[in-house]
Amino acid sequence: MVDENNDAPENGAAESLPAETPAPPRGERLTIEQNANWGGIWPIALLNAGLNIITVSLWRFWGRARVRRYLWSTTTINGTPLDYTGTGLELFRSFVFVMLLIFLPISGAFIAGQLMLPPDQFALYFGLAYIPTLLLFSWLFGIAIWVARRYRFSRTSWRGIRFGQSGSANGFAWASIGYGLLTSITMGWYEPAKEMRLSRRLWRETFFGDRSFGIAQDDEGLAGPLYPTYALAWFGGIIAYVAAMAVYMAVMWPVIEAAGDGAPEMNAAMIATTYFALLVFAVVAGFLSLPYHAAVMRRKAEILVFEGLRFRLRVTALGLGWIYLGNLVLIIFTLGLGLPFAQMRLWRYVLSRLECDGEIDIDAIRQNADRGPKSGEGLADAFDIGNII
Amino acid sequence: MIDALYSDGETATLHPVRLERADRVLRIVGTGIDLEWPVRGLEHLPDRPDGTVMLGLRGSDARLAIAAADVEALRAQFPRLLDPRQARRGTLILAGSLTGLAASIAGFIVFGLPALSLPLAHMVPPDVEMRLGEQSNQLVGWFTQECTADPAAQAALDELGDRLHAVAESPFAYRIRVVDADFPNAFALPGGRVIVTDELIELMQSPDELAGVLAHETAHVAQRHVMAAQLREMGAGVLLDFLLGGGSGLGQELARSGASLDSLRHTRRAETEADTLGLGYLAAADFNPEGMADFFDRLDAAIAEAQAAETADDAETAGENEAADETAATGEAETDFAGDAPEPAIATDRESWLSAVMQTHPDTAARARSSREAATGLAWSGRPALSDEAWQSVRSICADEAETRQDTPMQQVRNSVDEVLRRIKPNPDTADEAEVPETPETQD
Repeated sequence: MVDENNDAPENGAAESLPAETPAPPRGERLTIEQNANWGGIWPIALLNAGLNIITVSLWRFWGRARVRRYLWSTTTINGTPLDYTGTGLELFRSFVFVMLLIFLPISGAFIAGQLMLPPDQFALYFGLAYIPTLLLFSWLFGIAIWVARRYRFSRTSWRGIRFGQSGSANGFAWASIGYGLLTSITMGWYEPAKEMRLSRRLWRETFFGDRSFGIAQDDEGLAGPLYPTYALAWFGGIIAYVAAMAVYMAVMWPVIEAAGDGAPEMNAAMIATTYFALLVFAVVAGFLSLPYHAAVMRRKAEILVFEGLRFRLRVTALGLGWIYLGNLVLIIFTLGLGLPFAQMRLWRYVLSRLECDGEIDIDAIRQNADRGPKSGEGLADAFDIGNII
Repeated sequence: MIDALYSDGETATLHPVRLERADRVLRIVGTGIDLEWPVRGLEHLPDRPDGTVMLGLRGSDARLAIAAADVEALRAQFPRLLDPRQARRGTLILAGSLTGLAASIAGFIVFGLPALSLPLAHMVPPDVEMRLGEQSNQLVGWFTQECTADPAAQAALDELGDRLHAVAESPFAYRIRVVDADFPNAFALPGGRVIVTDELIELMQSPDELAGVLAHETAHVAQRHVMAAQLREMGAGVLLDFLLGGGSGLGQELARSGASLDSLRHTRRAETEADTLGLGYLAAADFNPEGMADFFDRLDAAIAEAQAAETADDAETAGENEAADETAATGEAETDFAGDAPEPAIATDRESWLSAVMQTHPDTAARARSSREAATGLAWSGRPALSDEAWQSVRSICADEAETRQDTPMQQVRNSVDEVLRRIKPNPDTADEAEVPETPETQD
């Protein structure tokens, strides 16, 4: 009953009725498809580019809503598209709230602090304020991630039933601060555990209708399978550092020779070389961390449970690397205006490789009364972390 | 009859239904379903990319999906609700309002802030401005080296400050100090501090010129121009943050680096006012009224010299060290009367200096002329601003501290880079040269 054929754009007319006639009462398999394409995203990207320029980027909230609407509705489960019901106004409103109610008071407090404190001991007070400030911002960062995720899920529906997220933003923020500390103390080796534990926390609070997602894995072994690839990424960082230094020295050598007796001037070429070395670092470190990133995504999917369903995500390190590389080029060469294309490529790559095992009684699912937050993800926007999709 | 898919908003079941308009209701009929939605409660939700039209009922989660092929038939029954122009009009209105909002914010930064900043600056309590000044003063230490002025020199500077303060109606006492820096500059900080670099004093040929420069800078202080510029920078930062988004600080950063924008420095009006008032101070305190004009001439000559070097340099191959050094020595006078913000002075490269001067001070010669005109007829006893002895002591501040000028944090970073590069250089004949401190700027 899932032989839907509305992946062909010409066939758009068909949310073919016969195929979606009531399913056998119990136990249905789910097929997830992703049919976004360049032809579909192109008009949206063009409109967003033009309006973002004219409005000095104020259009970005409405632009983001349009991109999401396209990406969501080209994603179908058993032939029925996901619907994105969020609006640009919600995102904009939330951004304004956050600027006025959070960032303005914080900036005000900083400026007032600067003016009130005795200038000669300024450095001392600055030092004292450093840890609490860092803590405050880490906390806000965690809140932002949680709130943005809840907003996105609450604005996603399928067959009229909403996704959603419950639980506590505060709890999540403190958990991520705590895990972050553990990661620092262990020189990064706690990172996979942190990633998986935070993800588990979020998915256990995620629901579709009146049913909750779950994680079929206890603490032991949650992140265990990730460690081989993480070790590669970790040592890859060191390798990348050495490589970057080698390139830096190789390029700088002639300059040093040419400088003769005096020290070479800090000129444009030298700065360019520094950036080039940084690029080498990013490329090498990035490449060697791809297996880890792919493994994290696969792991998150394979431990996820929804009713009788299990999930599988067929992403590979090289496939992901190709997407990331292409997206980097797309964004750099369009000065950021090509972002919708990049988002489309990533979304399509991931969602078209998501598979479901098992059966589910869809008709038994009821709506959840929680409509989600009234407005969007301003805090995440303010921290610039809401832009992945 | 039009086919549609109905989801009731309560269960995840999809029901194939048929739609029909009956007067003021939309009838929805299917297996076990017979509903009437009031037409006034209908919502036209955004279409799906395949052209599927989505209808909702206000206040309900129920949805109707009408395939693109059936949309025309539906449109015939709901011409207003499904008018495709409506969505386009909505987009246009939205884009128009957002453009208007962006333009008003930009307009406010360019016109509103300068107009508001001065009245607001006058409302800032003097002790708050003093604290701000103390902080800026500490920041100055980041890229300059304070020189221990001998008591006689500091007394001479204090005397100049006091004489100007006696004639100016300023809420702040003037505290003038000379710092060691690689560029000629003088700027006023909030709260009455005036910073003069040793390179600027080197450029001057008489204490009267110093008095002229100080009169101009202290006029900025008295008129709260310095505070106003700070308020403009802060305001622009907050507004740009709002426009571009983010506690990322991008807006603040732009505002700071945009300090070369006219609107973020002293406004032209403030400059003219400081020229005029400064001239009044000079006359009232019995300084040479032409001191300011003399200095403008000096500045104009320095610019001309730099331009000549520029063209010469263009003609020849790049890398003429002498020309470059010369401009490095005479250059950077640009921020001198322009800015309270010390940052621009860090850019020591010649082209950027030149273009900055051309942008912000196209009229140094004209300013010199008008200042001289205004000065004629003003009374002056003919006594120099400082005795020869005092002037020499002021000129000697920082003069023999060529070694210490390496100690600013900026310089230290540069030095440690140099040091590393020198060490890894295998060339034996350069190894002993490494002992010589590298101070190309001070060799003249």
